[in-house]
Parts: sequence; C-alpha cells; structure tokens
Amino acid sequence: MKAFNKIYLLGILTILTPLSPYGADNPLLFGLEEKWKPILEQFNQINSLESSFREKRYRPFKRIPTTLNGTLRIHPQAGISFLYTDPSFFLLHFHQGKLFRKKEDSDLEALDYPEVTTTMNWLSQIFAWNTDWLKDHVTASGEFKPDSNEWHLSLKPIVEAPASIDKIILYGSQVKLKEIHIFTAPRKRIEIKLRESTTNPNFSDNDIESFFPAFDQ
Amino acid sequence: MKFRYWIFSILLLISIGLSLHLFQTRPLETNVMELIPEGKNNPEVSLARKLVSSHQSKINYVVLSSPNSSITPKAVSTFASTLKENPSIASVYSPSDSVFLKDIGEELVQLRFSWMLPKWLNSHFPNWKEHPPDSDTLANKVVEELNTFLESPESFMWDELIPRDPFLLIPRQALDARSFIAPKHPQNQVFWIEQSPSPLEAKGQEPVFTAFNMALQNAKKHDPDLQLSFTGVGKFAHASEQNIRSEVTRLNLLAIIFVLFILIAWIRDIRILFKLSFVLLLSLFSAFSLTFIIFPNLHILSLVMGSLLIGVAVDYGLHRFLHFDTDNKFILWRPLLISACSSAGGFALLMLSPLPVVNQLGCFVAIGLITALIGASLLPPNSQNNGPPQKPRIHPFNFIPIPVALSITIALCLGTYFLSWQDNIKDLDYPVPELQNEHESVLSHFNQNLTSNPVLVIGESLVDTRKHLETILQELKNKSQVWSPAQFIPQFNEASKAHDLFKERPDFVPALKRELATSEYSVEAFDPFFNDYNEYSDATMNRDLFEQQIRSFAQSLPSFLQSMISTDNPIWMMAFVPENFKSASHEFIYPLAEVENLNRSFSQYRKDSGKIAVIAGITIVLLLPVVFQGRKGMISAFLLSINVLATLGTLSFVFHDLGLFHLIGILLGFCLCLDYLLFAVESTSNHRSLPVSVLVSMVTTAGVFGLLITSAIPAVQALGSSVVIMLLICLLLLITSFQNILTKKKPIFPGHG
Repeated sequence: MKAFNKIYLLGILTILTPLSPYGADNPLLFGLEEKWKPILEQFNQINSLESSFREKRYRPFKRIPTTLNGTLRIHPQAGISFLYTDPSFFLLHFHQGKLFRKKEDSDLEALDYPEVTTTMNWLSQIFAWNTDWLKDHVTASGEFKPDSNEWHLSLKPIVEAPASIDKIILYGSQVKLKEIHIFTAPRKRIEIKLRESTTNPNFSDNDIESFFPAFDQ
Repeated sequence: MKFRYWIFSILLLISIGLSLHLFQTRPLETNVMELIPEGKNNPEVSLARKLVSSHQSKINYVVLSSPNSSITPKAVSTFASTLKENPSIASVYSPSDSVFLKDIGEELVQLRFSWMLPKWLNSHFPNWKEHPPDSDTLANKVVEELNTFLESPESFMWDELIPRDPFLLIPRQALDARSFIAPKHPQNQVFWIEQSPSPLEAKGQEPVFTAFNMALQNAKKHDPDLQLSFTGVGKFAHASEQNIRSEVTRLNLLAIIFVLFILIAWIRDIRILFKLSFVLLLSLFSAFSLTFIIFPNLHILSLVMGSLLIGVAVDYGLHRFLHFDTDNKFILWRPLLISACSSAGGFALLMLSPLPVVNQLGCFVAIGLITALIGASLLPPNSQNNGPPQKPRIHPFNFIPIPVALSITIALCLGTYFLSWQDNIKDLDYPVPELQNEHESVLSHFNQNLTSNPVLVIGESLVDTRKHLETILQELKNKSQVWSPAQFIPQFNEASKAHDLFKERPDFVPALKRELATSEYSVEAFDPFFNDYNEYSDATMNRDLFEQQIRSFAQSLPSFLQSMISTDNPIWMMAFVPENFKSASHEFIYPLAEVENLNRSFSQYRKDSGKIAVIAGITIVLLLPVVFQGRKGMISAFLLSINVLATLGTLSFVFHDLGLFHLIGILLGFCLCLDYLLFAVESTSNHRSLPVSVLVSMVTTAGVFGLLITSAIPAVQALGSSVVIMLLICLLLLITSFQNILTKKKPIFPGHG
C-alpha cells in the first residue's frame, strides 16, 4: 500500500513543478492536468503516515456537526487505522477489505457495515493513489487557487458507489493535505481535518499490534 | 388346466404393467418423517412434521473459504449474485450482509413503539413500573443516548432512520440481533441459502448442488483458491436416497440369487423352478402395485424390508409343487391354507399399527403372500407322467434328546430377564457419517447461537408463548446466552404498561422537542417521529391487536428465520439456549434435538404395536388347539410360545436394548414359525416325513432375512436379526425330539426310519 501523505507533498510539488513534458495519456493522471503528474509521482516514495485529526459529521437532522478527535495511521501492509480518543475512545482498523473495531477492554470485532467499509475502501485506494483502481471508479478534477498556495482535488464516482458516495474532495495547502470531505447525501458529509502529521514514521511492533490489531504479522 | 395358466398369465401381466406404470409416474417417498404418523394427539410428532415442512428444511448452510487469505469481496458478491439468478434458489442471506436486518427492520419500524419501548424502559429505567420517569427525564435520556450513538461508525447505517426513531429502538434491536448472528470466523464467508423446491424432491437436490457449483466456478474467477462446503436437508436426503436405492437393488438381487440357488440345489427340477419364479414375480409385482395404490406415499424403506417377501412367498409354491400323492393330489391343503392365512393375517394386522412404515410393510407382505398362494394354486404340480415327486433329500435330525434341547431353550428364555426396550428414530436413517462430519464442520463456522441447543417454546396463543419464553429469559441470569427472534416481541402486559406510561405523559413531546433543540438538532426533521408517536399514544392497546402484530412480524422474517416463530397450531417460538439448560417450565419447552429424535413417541408406537402383536399372538396360540383338534394344536401352541420366549431371550443377550423393529421382526418370525410348526406337526402326526418344502423354505427365509442383517440401516438390521434368530430356534425345536411327544415315542418318520 502506498501512503496517505503522498498527497501531503502535493502542494509544494505543485508549486515547484512547472508544466511538465509528460504525455496527456499517462495512466497516473486519468483526466488530471499534466501539472499534477510530478506531484502524483512523488506519492510512490511515501509509505506510511501518522496524523492527528478532527472529524466532523454533518447530518441533515442536526444543525451543528458531531465532532470527534483522534489519530490516523496508515501502514503499507497493515492498512488504515483511526484511533478516536475524544469524546469516545475506540479504534477502527480497515485491513484487506474488512473493517474491525476495538473498544477499550473488549475484544476485536469485525464490523459488517457496508457503508463504512466501502468508504474506508475508497479512502485506502485514494491514499495509495491506486491508479488502476481509480481510473475504473472515479473521474478527477483539480484546481489551484491562483492567489494562494491552496488547492483541491475532486474525485467523483463513475458508477454509483454502494455507500452512496457522491464525491470526495481533498483540500491542501502547499505541502500539506489539510482536509478530506466525503459527501454521501445532500446535506450529509464527513470532514476529516488533518492536524499534526509525521510522514513515514517507524511503527514499532507494539504500535502495529496496538493500532492495527487485525493485522497478522 | 389351460384356463388356469391364462388367468395366471393375465394376473402377472397386469401386475407387471401396473407396477411399471406406478414406478414411472409416482416418486417413492424418501423422507423419514413420512414414516411416522400425523401425530394429531402427539405434540412432538406434530412439531417435528411442521418443522420438516417449514422453510427451515429448505435452508442450506454454506461456507466459502480461501485457504491462504481472506476472500475477496468481488468473489463473494459474484457467488451470491450467480445464485440469486438461479431458479432453484429462493434467497441468499449472509450474516455479513445487513440486508436481512433491514428486512426485519422495515416491519419493526411499524411496530417499534409498542414492541420496543418496554425494552428501552427496562434498560434505561429498570424500576419504571414502580417509579415511572417524568417526561423531562425521558426526553433527556433519549437525546443523551442519541448524541453518543452519532459518534459510532454504525450510526452511518441508520442516519436515514434516526428522524423517525430518535429513541434508536430499531438500531439497538438490530445490532443486538446482529451480535448473535455474526459468523464465528469472519475471515470466511457464510450464507443461509434457501432453495425453492423441497429438499426432499429430486429437483430440490442435484439442481441445487449444480447451482452451488456454478456459483463457485464464477466466484473462482475472482479468487481461484476459493473452496465451498455446505450442508442441508437436501444433501442428506440425496445421499440417503441413493444409498437406500442401491441397498434395495442389492438386497433384492442377492435375495433372488440366494433363493434360486437353494431351489436349484435342492429341487433340481427346471419346471418347478420356472413355476416358482413366476409365482415370485406375481407376488412381488402385485404386492408392489397394490401397496402403491393403497399407500400413495409408499416409502422406499418399506421396499427394503419388503424384500423379505421373496423368502416367504416362495414357500407356498414349494409346498404346492412338491407335496402331492401318487394320485397327483395335493396333500397339504389344510396346513397350507392355515399357514398362508395366518401369515397374511399376521402381516395384515401390522396395518393397524400407528406407524406408516409398519402399515406399508404389513400390506406389502400380506398382499404378496396371498397372491403367492393364489399363483401357486393356479399353477398345477408336475404331470403324472413325470413320475413321483422329488423325495426329501434332508431328513429331520431327531437325535438331539429332549433334555438337551429343553435346557438350551430354557437357557435362552432366561435372557428375557434382561429384556429392556429403547427406541431411536435414527434407526430408520441411512447413516452417512462423512456428511454428518461435514455438517458439523460447516455449522462450526456459523454463530453458535443459531446452530446449537435450539428449543421450541410452546403455547396456546402467541401471547402465552411469549410469556413462557420470558420464563427462560428470566431463568438465565446472563441473558446474552439466549437468543430468539421472539425477543423482539415484548410481553403483552409490559407493552400495555409502557403504552399507558407514555399515554399519560402528553408533555413528553414538547419536552423532547426542547431537548433536541438544546442539542442543536433540527426539531422539524423529527416530524415523522412525532406523527408516528402521536398515533401510538392515542391508540388503544389490546391483546387481539398484539397477537395480530406478532403474526405479521413472523411472516416478515427472512426465510431462514421464519420457522422460528410458528403462528398456526402448533404455536411455537424457537430459542437458542446454553448447553445443558434445564428449565423449571419444562412442560412448555421441547428441546429440538428431542423433537427430531422423536424417541419418546417412537416408544409409544412400539408399545402400541406390541399390544397388537401380543393380542394377535395369544389369539393364534389359543386358537391352535381348536383348529388342530387338541393334542396337535396344544403341542404347536407350546412350541410356538417357547420359540417366542427363547427368541426374546436371545435378542436380549445379543442386543441388550430392543426396539420397535426387533418387535416387528418377532411378529414376522411368529407368522413364519407358525407355518413351519403347523406343517411339521401335521406331517409328524400323520407319520410322514417333515416336508422338504419346510426345510427349504426355512433355509431360503433365513437366508433372505440374513441378508437384511447386512443392511446399513439399523432398523432393517434389527428386523433381519430378529427373524433369523427366531427361525434358528424354530429349527432347533423341529430337529429335536420334541415331535416325539406327538407320536407317543413312536418313530416319527417311519418312511425313512
């Protein structure tokens, strides 16, 4: 698995990279402009990530979002894990297409929630920038704000996704991917704001055991 | 004379034609449940029959696994979608697929207030009946719990429902149910697959297996290592039918070969052999066709046991064709008629038994014996020009002195002291251990809550039944150990009290609106909830309506759960309880394993059949002195009685516990031995030699029943061994000097002495 913070460098690389000579039919791009290409190529060099985050869940029946805080971890073999620490404490681990949850003082449980599992799968494909998968499932369009270093990249499903994902928008600024917005229905979205991040951290065996409990080493 | 041949030929052709027609147009019954009666007065039988005919019997338990890794979701979806397109498959459910929970949920949404508010109150306000909470407290609890729920990943599944259900009644119930249904090994994929045709029919067997295989092949395109294992009633029924069919063929073929071999060895007259063969054919085909007409659901097992007819039906031809005097007159009409009528009558008596398999067996053999007698009577002995009939080649052995024979017989009779009875309906099944192992292996992948220790809770009405189920729930301190779809249903009195509580709180709606607004919810988004709630609180709760709601819910359950609540007589609710669970209310609770075994009911049938057998036996024994004029009759009755006692004793020594089919074997043996004793006594009292036909018949009959001992079906084994033992003891009695009593110590076989 490739890494989440491949996107992390997207901003600065975009700024540093002029229009490139690469061909428009390069599979890395699948519809993006040529200027994205050097950035996306850099993704391959990044394997893992650790970042604190704030997640906001917007629902049509609530005037303000439900807010959760925690730490996101990505490991090339062990998958993605979301450790929620506030206001509730639990860990979600997505590994090999299956979703698991670990609560404090309880056993690891497999979750069979198609909506959540599908969303996790989409996130894992995006973080890995799996172009084979992406070109079959999404169309991409990006935009750079001319007067700032901010950008966003919008991914829209080609076919209807089981989790009713309307679109996923990645927001970044310079070297950082700042936010991921997942739109699943009108007036319903999840915003994940990344805060302090470490690229390619060295996960110890204990870390892997703790944060990726469904991964069998 | 030719007229007789014509009649015989016409009868034979009609019986063959009719048999072939019936065999092609009607399937033979293979369902073991058809071997037991309707059970109108027997709740266990009634329950078992209903279970077998329910959706439950159509459910196949299927496991997909991949030895080296988790199965790819694409392979799983391909497997499921291929099956859904197959006409043999009615539905495909997986515990990993929440579709079925939503199916239940749709119905429950309509019933959520009356059914789930009692549970909600119990969990949040355990003393709500004594100290009912006020509206503000209730509203605060609803919103507090809703806030917490929205932080969980499962909340995404229920977002659309929440404006109709801020109490979270449906999500909580569904998630509780899911925790009991979730598979044991999440790395494998398990399915409940309901097939359309009955698993007991041919189209519900191989076409279904083919559908599974096709789905597997398609799924393998995405996961080449995929492996499939499954179990279901159809798989067992198919294997059992195949095995029984091959056993019917084997036993009948061996029986015919054996009988012909004995006849050729002893009779050595090709014309007699031909006549005997035709008599046998007439007997078998007429028995098959007439029994099939009388019993449209003729069970294949009856034919397995019916193969013994070959050994018995040959007797009359033997007597008829071998015993006539120099005037070519048949000399044994009286014993032949008495024996044929008593045997046929004995077997016909089995039709009074409450067990269909015994009825069919009795009818099959009785018709076969009568037609064998008619056939043998229609065909004449060999013509006068062919010389005297075959001389007996075997002489009776009367060298065993009476004291020795008496000692042996009495010793055998002593075995009756150890006589005990134990019945097991599994004796009727063809054992398929390899399938049983696979069955257990497949079920081990499913959540144990749904595969082990099921019990049926029985009641007069659905409301009463739910009350009885509550007894189990209360008895188990840890309620997570018990699961039943009926747990969705509250007890009527609780539902009624909860309804009263909310009805008496008109200020609950404004209180909840306030709380929702305080927590920044869009209150107007919850209008669907408030509309439904007002309807609920304004309505009247009554028992009839509640009963109707349960019926409607039961019918909405997915197929694999539908048999868990039976809404028609007998009414039951199925529950899964811990091992060794004993309830104080055992009168309302039937462990399903016990129902399936039906051993208690089977014992009752054995007792009923035993009563018929004893009455018939005593009647025959008492009639013997009358029909056979005193001394001969008394001796026959004595020998017959001691034969039965010694057989019972020997069987007790050999098998320890005897069952229904030992009893039937003894009844059959009684009829057969009566024949032989009558012929022996008649011949001996007339100072004639023991007819060779008796000895040949005994050997052929013992041989045919001996073949039954090789059957894999325990019931058939029991029947065969009982008859063989009885025949052997009869032979012991015949070859000893017991007969000397008849002739007052005169040489009994002067012609050969």
